[in-house]
Amino acid sequence: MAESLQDGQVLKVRDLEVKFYTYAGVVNAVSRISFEVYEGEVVALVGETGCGKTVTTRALTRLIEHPGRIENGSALFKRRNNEVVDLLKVPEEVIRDIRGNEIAYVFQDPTSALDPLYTVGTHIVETVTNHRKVKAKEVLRDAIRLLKEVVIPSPELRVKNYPHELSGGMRQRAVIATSLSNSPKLLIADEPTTNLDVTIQAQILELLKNLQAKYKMSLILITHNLGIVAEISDRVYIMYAGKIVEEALTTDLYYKPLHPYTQLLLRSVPNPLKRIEKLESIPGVVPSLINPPPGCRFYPRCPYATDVCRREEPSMIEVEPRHRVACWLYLKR
Amino acid sequence: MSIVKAVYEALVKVINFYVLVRDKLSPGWSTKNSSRVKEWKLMAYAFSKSKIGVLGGMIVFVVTLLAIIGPLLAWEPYWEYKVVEDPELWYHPPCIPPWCSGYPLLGTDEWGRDIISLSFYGFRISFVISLFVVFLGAPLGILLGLVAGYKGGLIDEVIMRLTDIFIAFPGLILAIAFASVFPQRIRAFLEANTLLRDFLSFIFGLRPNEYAQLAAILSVWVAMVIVWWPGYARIVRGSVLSVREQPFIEAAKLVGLPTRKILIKHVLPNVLSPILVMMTFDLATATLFAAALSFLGLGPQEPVPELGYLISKAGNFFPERTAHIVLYYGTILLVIALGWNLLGDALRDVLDPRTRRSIEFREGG
Amino acid sequence: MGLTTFLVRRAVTFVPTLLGVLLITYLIAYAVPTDPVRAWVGEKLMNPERLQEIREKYRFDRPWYEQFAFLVSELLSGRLEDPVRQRNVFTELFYRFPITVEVALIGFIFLVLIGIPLGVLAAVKKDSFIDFFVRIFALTGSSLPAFVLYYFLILGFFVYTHTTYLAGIPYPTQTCRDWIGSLPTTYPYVGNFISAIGSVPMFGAAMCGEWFVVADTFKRLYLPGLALGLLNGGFIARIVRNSLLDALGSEYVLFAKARGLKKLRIWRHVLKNAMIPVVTVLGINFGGLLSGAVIAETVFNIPGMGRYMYDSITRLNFPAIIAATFLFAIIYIVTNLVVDILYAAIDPRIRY
Repeated sequence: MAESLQDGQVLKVRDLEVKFYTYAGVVNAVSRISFEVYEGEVVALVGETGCGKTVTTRALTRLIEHPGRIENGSALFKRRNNEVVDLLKVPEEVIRDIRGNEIAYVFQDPTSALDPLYTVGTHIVETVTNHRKVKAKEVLRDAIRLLKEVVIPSPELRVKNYPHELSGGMRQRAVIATSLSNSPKLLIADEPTTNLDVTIQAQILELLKNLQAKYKMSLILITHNLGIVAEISDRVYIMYAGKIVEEALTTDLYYKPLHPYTQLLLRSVPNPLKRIEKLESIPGVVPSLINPPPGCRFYPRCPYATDVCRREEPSMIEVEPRHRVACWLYLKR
Repeated sequence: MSIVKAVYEALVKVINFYVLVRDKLSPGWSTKNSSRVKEWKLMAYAFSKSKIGVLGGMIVFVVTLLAIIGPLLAWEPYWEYKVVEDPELWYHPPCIPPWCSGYPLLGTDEWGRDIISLSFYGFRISFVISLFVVFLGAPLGILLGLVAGYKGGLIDEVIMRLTDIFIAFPGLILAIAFASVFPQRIRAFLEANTLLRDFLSFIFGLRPNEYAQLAAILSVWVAMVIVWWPGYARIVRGSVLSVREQPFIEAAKLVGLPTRKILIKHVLPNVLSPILVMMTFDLATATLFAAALSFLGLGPQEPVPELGYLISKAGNFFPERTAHIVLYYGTILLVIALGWNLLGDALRDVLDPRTRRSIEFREGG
Repeated sequence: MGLTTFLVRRAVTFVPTLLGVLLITYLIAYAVPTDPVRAWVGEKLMNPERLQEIREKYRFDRPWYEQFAFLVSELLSGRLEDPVRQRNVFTELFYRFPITVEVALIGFIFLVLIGIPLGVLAAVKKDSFIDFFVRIFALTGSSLPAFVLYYFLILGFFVYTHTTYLAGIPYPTQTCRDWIGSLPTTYPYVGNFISAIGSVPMFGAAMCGEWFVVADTFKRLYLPGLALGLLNGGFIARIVRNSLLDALGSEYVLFAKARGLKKLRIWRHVLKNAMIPVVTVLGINFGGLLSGAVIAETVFNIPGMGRYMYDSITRLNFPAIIAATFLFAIIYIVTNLVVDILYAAIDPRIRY
């Protein structure tokens, strides 16, 4: 294999491309995305709804369903036994075993993620027994421990509860417990707090942060909320219309956002580090991902747009150490 | 495909015409409702893409046309019993030109009437009765459902109990019961109201003096309306209950809109698409249902050529002399019903935002 | 809430509906501006004394509500007499209903055998030729005039090939019937129940091991069953398909995949969830079948409930109408109850 993982890397994605072949045309949901995740790190993937964040992470374990297709790219992943595999190429049975075992997901809506006809305990038990040869009874004891870990009160009773008998926050905790049941190396949390009450959002975030440290796992956090990013992530990738436009350490991003989109995005939420007078919105809409325009995809909404932005696509360059951006403002013309 | 394009363009023309009319009636309507018009055009686009829908639409179009002009096309009056003059005409078998001539193409029935000519009358009757049933039964059910769902309380309880009672009973049997009750009363009524009688006779393509048979048709119709509304009432009430809880209804109430206006302007549009789909399907069901009642002898009798009745008559000599008659009339009923069903099936897809979404993409972008 | 409380509560709420059904049927029948007594008594037996006697017996000299009350009380005490056939209405119902059960059961078997496999196939091969075929099959089935299909099935399976026959209903032998009839006395309670099941000819024959009668029943009744499968099987298939697709496209199935569950395990989630709407539709369908199918019974010459009701309506046979209505209403509540109980067994969100 030409590429390999550097020290401390868990995941290295290169040129990932996902297309959806719909009735109306080919949707370029994710176009040549590259990113990496280090061990024990929290990485945030930020962007507006429909920019391809979810598709990107689902493509990692090939959870893309018809009419979607992974067209290109590689995703090197270091397994628990230190073997490095390309997630996009390994056999179906191997990827199945990696899912939920070494790479686990927390979905956005806990209400629809849990099968209403099965108890919380069953969800955890089946997740374990489908990956390891263990007795269901032993797993059930483990399930109670897990529920305790995600701070669910009286776990001995809750383990026998059906999803509808739990509140929204409790359900998300149950989902997290299920995902943690095999102590994964990488947890992907897809907008884990969006569908929850504001009061519960902070609790769930803190729980995720604590568990990430405790289980020494890496965490990819998908969100559209820059406030959440500041709170728990180490590093940030900003996505726009199926592309990554900026990559930075969280603090760098807030102090010195480079891409015009990031700048506008930061001005549209309360910045924890800077005082700004009023929140702004970004004019215009996200371009259609069917036949996207050539050049920079942010061009139509960009206040600094020039001719070259329309014609040619900017490539990623490192402007400062560990701070990369794809924008003509920072590229030599 | 060119059919897709032609259908789409035709539908867009209809929409544009409607917009033009509305704009003439109340200037500024088109700008205020531009997003709605765009949505309609998207629906038209999605519909034109559906093969099933286009086929159904074409069948319905032809069926409607035939139903309108049918009785004018029929070359033999249905009340003339030619068998009296020529006994050969009693269930004369089909007569296909090279091998046989001088008799009707598909043969004759027991009175010596041309099967094909006769079917044009039957076409009209079946078509009109299904329209009558659905366009009276649906509004009745919608109204009761709206009132029950919106008012709640005792009114809701009473209406829903009544709906339950009607649904608890097998529809066909209930209709048989009603259809056997009404004819005499309706007949007396028609005898008194000659203007109405003539008008209805004209609509059904019958002679005015056939009012005894007309009364039988009308009693089938009334019986069907009575068993038809509960389905609509249930669906509408359910939708109203879910719509009622939404904030915009609360807002409309706070603004002080009268109940009637809230129901018509805000609640009804939200339940319209499932109803429209249901009505389309029901036009098929009603066609077959009316034929079934006539088949059982509850509809019109001689000489009125109702398709279900004609089939039951032909059934007496099935299959030796009448297999082709049953097949021919049965196919007519099948085609009418199939047209509506195909159309309804496509409409369900088109009116459901979930299945339409992928198409919106291109138009939006 | 326990099952018993649930049943009691359901029974209580159903009583008004039941009475409403009876009242409405009665009022419909009462609205006929003809003298029912004349319709009851055949032309031959018509004489003033007899008419007068019947009139008094059924309270025709009293107001309608007294007539109605009389009919209902006679019905509930099991004494109601069918004036046309001049025997107890229950004798008539006990003769006809088991036959309807047989027809319904055989029809139901065809419905399930055609509907479920086709539906699963259409869902698994979504948007393929088979999916399109199932859609067309469903639409054609619901567009076919039932009686025309019946005629041509008879043409193909009876007139030309003689694989069925259209007269009589097979019954178990007299010894077998006597044995089943004696069960309640030998084994109280349980015997009543078994005897009731055995009153359906096919089941009775099976109990006595008279399998040729069972086979004969199938030979006699498979045609209406097949017709039902052809008419409604597509509809059931579409329901099966859509609920399977709903389940397959759901978040919890995606999450199950994301948890790395094995294929078999995922299908368990899918099937269990998809079963809920299918069970409902099939239950309602079976309930409908138990009320008898007028047209099928007419064409296939089956002395079932639908035909009985139809004959009673056309002869203004109020007592028979009321009794049959009563039975229909009971069937309706029982099937709904069974569906609800099945529902609760599958879906933990639903409790009695």
